[in-house]
Amino acid sequence: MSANMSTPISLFRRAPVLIKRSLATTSLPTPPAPIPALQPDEKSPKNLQQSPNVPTTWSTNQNPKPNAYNNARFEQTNLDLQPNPPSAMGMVAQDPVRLVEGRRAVCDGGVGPLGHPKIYINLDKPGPKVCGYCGIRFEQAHHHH
Amino acid sequence: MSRMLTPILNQTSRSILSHRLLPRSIPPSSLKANFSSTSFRLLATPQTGPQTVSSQPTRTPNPMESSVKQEWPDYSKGPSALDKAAQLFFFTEILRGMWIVLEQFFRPPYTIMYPFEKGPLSPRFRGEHALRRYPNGEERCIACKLCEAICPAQAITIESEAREDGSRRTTRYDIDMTKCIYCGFCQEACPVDAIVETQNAEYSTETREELLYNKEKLLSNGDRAEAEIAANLQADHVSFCPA
Repeated sequence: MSANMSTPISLFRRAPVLIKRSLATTSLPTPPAPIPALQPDEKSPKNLQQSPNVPTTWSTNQNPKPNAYNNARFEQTNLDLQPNPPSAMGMVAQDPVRLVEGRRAVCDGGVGPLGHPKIYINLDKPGPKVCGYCGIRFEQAHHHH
Repeated sequence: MSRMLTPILNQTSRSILSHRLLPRSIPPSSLKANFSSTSFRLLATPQTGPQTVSSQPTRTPNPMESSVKQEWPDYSKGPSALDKAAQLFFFTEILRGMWIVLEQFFRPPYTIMYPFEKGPLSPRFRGEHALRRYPNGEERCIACKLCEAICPAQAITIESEAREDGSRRTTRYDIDMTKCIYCGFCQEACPVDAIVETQNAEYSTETREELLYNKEKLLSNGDRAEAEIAANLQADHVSFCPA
């Protein structure tokens, strides 16, 4: 490098290359697109299911793990040692629906400072209504007299 | 001195002395009237001193020139300053220093066996990041991206999408821990206390890629340290939301 830079002729010869290299757009490495056919299910290996409690994907653009890990980047990765927290969707689905007296539910997520901003939920329409923060479902308690 | 000598001097020497010994601040008109036949050259002299000559003996800032007898403490017959300094500083300092050393000898050591025992940490300690959950398992993060916006190092990347049950959550929450400067702005910006910095500071890795945290890593951090995080937030919430 220093030998090249010392002679001005070679520097001029390199200049177009340097300019072209600096102006060239680099292509970002992109992960493989999600392939829904590779969706894992209960019979897939444990470390290839999306989460311990929900084996399939839960969002539209979520990449199934068998496709996402089919990559040179994960060639020597031990998938059993990777963090694998349970899916929030599966845990919320097991949370029982709260029956509320009246047309309005109040949710602040917990005890004072550890909760979320307090919101009021209209329960006029039938069916459980979900708190947008903490996912707790509320439903109006109908009494049949 | 000039006042005592003037009566015995003759007229010519008196006029010569008046140029040197009298205060320069006396106006030249009075000097000309009393003593001198020539004019004073005081054109640019600032008038800062006394403007009149009083009947009191003249005080000068120099005590050797002053005619007033002043009392100065006589240190010439006492012990020398070196002796007093040695007695005052060296002797008592040595004794006091030795006493401190003797006290430390009987006290338990301050050293802690670090990997096995650890010092106290503030509840506001800013260490490894974590994503928290509500008690029913729902992720707290609602993908408002305030932390991504406020991050001065731009270490946070968030993508969000509706989940199959209709909830708006993140599909991607990445923190580049090699960029993070641990300023704590993300946990201050979070309206639902989702992203927090835990008290764990021991997460060194062998490779750089292991420090690019994704959502699974952050959620499992939060699941592991949830009790500690909740206790710290509970202990500190009075400072942050006084209502």
